[in-house]
Amino acid sequence: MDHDIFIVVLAGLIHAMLQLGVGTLLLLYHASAGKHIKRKTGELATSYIFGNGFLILTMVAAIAFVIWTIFGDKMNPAMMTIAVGILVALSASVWLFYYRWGGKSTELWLPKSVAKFINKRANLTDNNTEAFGLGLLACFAELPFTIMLMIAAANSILSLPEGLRLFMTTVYALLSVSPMVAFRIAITNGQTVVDIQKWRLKNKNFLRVWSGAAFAVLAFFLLAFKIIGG
Amino acid sequence: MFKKAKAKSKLAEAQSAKTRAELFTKELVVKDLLKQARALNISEAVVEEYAGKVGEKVEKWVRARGGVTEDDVNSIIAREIKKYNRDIAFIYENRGKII
Repeated sequence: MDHDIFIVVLAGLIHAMLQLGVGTLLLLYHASAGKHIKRKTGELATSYIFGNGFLILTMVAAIAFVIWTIFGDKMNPAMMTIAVGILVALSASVWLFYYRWGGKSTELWLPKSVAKFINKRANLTDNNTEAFGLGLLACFAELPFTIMLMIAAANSILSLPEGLRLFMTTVYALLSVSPMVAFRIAITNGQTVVDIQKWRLKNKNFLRVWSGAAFAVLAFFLLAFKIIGG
Repeated sequence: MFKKAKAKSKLAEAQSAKTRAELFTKELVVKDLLKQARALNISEAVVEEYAGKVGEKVEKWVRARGGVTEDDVNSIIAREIKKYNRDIAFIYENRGKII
């Protein structure tokens, strides 16, 4: 049980280290701060975070349900081996492709057209429903990197006692949105978008190395506890 | 046929030059600078003092060039505004580079 909780927490922390959610919130916050009063901007940011968290929560629950329906309980070792392989590949991808190389920017792997679309949506977002939708969109756009984390978490959640399952699903979602919540609190306490973007630029390589390493550590844990030990 | 195509491309060039000049007028640059000031909690009255000068220089720069991209304009605004406010300059330097 302990290692299942650890896997859920580790997957949630890796999800939190990915930057699309925070980057989009930054765009939304800056665009809104130039147009609306502080309170409205805060409400939009909160709706965005809710949208992001809602999709993560429902997706982990849905993936757990699919695994339970297909495999009866948890994934079999063959499927786990594939999952471990994909996690190792994602680890290398985070090191090599997640951030664009060169230049002083936090540009991500997203195709330019998608990044432009998200940027445009962030600029046009004027009410809470649109902000909620933008949160869903940002979460959806990051799926190539996060889907395996959700699968690993959902599989471990299924190994937990029934009383803990909903709680750990919520913990995963809360961990995933925690950087956005921290960002929201920082802005309320007087930090500006410039301060936060400077922090992101300064720590870009740190985040690249550690999130890539964390993907590899998660793969190792799955291998040790779910395939060899499971 | 080639003459017609050449005339058409000259017309398109003239039209795009006109559009470009319309897109990056002094007024629009000033308006955008004030928006950035609001977003960063910087006094709009203070920014207004130098926004006009920056807008003028940017408009002049755009008119003098045959072809400019949005990135070119952002970097020239960043260069000009850096003399007065580094935070606003940072915003222009990082436009389109956040995600």
